[in-house]
Amino acid sequence: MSKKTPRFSLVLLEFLGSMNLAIMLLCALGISSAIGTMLKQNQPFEDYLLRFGPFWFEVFKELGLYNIYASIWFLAINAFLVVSTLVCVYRNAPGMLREIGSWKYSVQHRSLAGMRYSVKLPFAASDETTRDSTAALLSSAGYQVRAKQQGEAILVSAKKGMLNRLGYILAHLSIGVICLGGAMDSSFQFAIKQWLGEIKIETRNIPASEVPAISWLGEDNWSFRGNVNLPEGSRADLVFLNQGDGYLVQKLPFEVELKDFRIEHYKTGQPKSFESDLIIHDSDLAEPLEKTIAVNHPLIHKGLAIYQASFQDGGSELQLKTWPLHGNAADSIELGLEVFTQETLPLKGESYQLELDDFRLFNINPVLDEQGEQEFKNFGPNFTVRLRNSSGQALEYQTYQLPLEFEGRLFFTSGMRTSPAEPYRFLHIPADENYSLERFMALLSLLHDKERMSKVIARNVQADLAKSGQPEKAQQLTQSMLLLLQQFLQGGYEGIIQEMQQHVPEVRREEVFNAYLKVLRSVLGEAFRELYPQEPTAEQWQFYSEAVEAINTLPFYQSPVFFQLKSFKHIQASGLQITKSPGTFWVYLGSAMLVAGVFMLFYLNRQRLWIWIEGNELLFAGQSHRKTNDFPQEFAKLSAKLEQVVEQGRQSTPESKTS
Amino acid sequence: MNDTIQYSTPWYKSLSSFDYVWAAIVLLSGAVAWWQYQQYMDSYEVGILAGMSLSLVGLGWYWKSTRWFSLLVAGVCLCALWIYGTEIGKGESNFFLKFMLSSQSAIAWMGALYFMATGAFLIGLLAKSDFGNKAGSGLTWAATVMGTVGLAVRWRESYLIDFDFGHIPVSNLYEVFVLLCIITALLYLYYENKFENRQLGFFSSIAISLAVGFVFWYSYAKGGAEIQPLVPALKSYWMKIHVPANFVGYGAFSLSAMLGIAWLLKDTFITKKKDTWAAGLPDFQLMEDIIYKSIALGFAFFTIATILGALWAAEAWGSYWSWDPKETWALIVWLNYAAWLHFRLVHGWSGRAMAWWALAGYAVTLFCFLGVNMFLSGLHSYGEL
Repeated sequence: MSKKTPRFSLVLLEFLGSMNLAIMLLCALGISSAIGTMLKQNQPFEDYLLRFGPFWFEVFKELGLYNIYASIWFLAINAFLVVSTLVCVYRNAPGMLREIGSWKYSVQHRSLAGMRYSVKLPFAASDETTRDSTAALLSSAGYQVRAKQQGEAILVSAKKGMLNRLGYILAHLSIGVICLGGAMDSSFQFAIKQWLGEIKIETRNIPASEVPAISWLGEDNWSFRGNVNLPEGSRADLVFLNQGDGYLVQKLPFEVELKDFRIEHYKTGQPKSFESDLIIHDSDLAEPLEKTIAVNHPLIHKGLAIYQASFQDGGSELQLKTWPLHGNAADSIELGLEVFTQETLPLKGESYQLELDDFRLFNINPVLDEQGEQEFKNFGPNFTVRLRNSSGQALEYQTYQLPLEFEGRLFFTSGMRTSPAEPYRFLHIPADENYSLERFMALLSLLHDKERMSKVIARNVQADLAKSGQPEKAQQLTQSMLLLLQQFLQGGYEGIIQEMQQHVPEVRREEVFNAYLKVLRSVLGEAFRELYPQEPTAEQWQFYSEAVEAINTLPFYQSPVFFQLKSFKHIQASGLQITKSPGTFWVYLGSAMLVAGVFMLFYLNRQRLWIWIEGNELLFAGQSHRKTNDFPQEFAKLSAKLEQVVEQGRQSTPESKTS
Repeated sequence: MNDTIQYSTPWYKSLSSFDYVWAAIVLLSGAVAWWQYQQYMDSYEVGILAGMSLSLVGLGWYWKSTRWFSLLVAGVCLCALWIYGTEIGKGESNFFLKFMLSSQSAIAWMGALYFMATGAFLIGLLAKSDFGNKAGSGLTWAATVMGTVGLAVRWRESYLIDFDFGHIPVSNLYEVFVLLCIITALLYLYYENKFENRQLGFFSSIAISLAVGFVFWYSYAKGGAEIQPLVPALKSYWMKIHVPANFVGYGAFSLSAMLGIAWLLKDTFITKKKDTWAAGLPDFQLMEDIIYKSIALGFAFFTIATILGALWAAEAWGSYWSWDPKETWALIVWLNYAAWLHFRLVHGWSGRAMAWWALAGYAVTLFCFLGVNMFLSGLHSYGEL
């Protein structure tokens, strides 16, 4: 007989529904998912390039490791698993459904006698009575019971837990339903549309109105997740979908307006809640819909869900005062600027670009109090600017509005860094008695004023030299002291040391430096006394030494000016996430099916019992699909009860049995 | 004419009067709780309260020991709360609170009692001492009472510190590790009760003692015992159901892994020498049975917990699934145990391979539970180490 090759479709079905394939796919799914958790996904390509170098960067990119969960092969594994599961269901379900309702009447006496759990009991009552009483017993044990005449015998058939099969069907079908929902909401559709050339990702940082139509998505887009930042008082009818290296713009069927955004804090300073008061302007509504959203409390309108996702500055208006650090305090400029805008400033003869990057109303940081316990303190508002000189180099400054306390003293604090990768280095300018910068800036201006300083120095030099009797050296001494001062102003103590290293042999440096320090201190002290005609108090002397330290740090600050925040109008922006996910319904339905199915599979045990009533003998047999200890115990107990039934039947039956 | 012989009395006829008293107490307490605090609860939380009350009644009817356990916990708790009044400071000044009933002390007692139980069970195992095992069992009950009291009192303490801080104590690693101890212990005690066998007590105690060790370390080195207010993303009724369901899963998986160890130990030692200490362990069949049942229970609750997590994520983060490391690893854990169950139920595998697999599965579970928090970042890093 020739061997027929099975039909291809059958072979395919067999393969797809095979457990081995499923296990392999499961492992592949597990491993690739795990990789995606180890390697941070969806980062800008530069980050990966830096991390892996040019060669491996390309390799991983081709493998799709930067966006594993949306890559084709990952989706293919998922798709295969779903297909495999559904094929299993397709092959097994019909038989299982039949089995649920089946009573297995066709079982033979012989096979019952041969079952593992099988017992024979003689009985004396009539067949019908025995049938009824045994059926009642089985029924009380939770079985569904039917009896049927099988030729000479009566067969009582009982079943329990058949819905276990339905559990199988539900649990496995649910995988398909859940993945269907997930597929509906996946970003894979954008990859396809891009591949077909229907849409194109926008990578430039431009206003939405300038984005070309090919990067816009309209109302026919059935699923998306997008973000938009709304400053207070403004409204938007679009969201941005982050895709790959750029974004797409999605039009909304209504407008969202932000009336107010609030952050509430715990007394520790940590945020307690973020809330936005929204107004929905929809032409389909009789009047605008007002609702407050918060984290965990989104607004759902027209199938779109609006979430409180983040917040940032919304373009606060700041009034800044710029204090020149190398000239006359009187030359300070007042300017008003909005966050996220720029302005060109002529400073110190050069043209600078001032970019106002951020403003924060609260800065709550952990500090150690006197006992060394950690507590939270609000440092007050700060703002961040970037100052770009004419050659394009930018330095970032983060300055606090209010003076901060360090060891009981107050300082105006500003941090500088040359790149975001670096930490801030701080400048601390002591606050004067009026908690302002005036005194310090006055001192600084004075020190920079060569004319006045010459006079101050000369006056004191003459006084000193008159005492020691060398008046002709006065001018030379004055000049050298002035020079020393200039070196200090330009480079701090470091600057003096460096100058010294060029002129002074090493062996004498310490001695010379100490001498220089003495001279410098007397110059600075004279300048300070210029500002305080009365003898300065101890507190003012402390201010003086802090000021000197600040001046020493100024060269590292590298800015021509010090920006002070005088006042502000705080405008916040709420970061909203708006999603449309029709797949959600299917995912939830599938989840319910899965839970129901799992519980049915685990806690319903398929059991069948038969009682074959023939002659004077009762054959009791049963089987359970699950091999645990429970069924043998139940069978033993039922057997014992059956004996009681039979005994009871014997006692109530007359001596001879009617046949 | 004659009475029909019944297989067994239907469950509703087998309830004792104490069962009815129990139901009444639980339902009444639920009603009082609702009446006192309804203004602070949204409709979902009222639903959770109702569901929990009914479930507790059912649990008490099904597993009789939980009745006195719950009543004892409630009684001790109420004493602690009564002493506290409205002042959190009493925790330092009152003797009973400071040394026994405040959440920190109660949890310290819990830890000590679990350690003692481990010792008692070890004696019971090695010396084949029935007294040792009974002592271990009793100590485990006592420890579980103290642990549950600790968490419940902590719930109230969070409100006493500051009304805004108040939250159910399942929000950081310290709190959930205590919960893990309690749940693992209760699951062990349930199976001990059901199979009338105490010989596995030592093994479940290992997992619990390790967890206690972590609790003490975390509290000492990282100040984890301090009650912190919730970040906005955690302020939701979902936390009350997602987290506990997850820990029923973790507890069950812990137990199954420990029993896997027991199985493997017995297998190793019995083949070498017949009358070794390992002969005191239960039959292989029984151990396999409990391993299967605890994995099944854990898997069922883990499925529920993951789904609840997805529902919560949809409400908080805008998407039911964002391949966040924690979510992804939860999926891997789920797939792993699904595979285990397939091999058990479809292929009928049992024995050594499955015991090893239960242990390996636990490693995967631990990575999902702790490893993700420690080594990976994501939206879920609330319990950072």
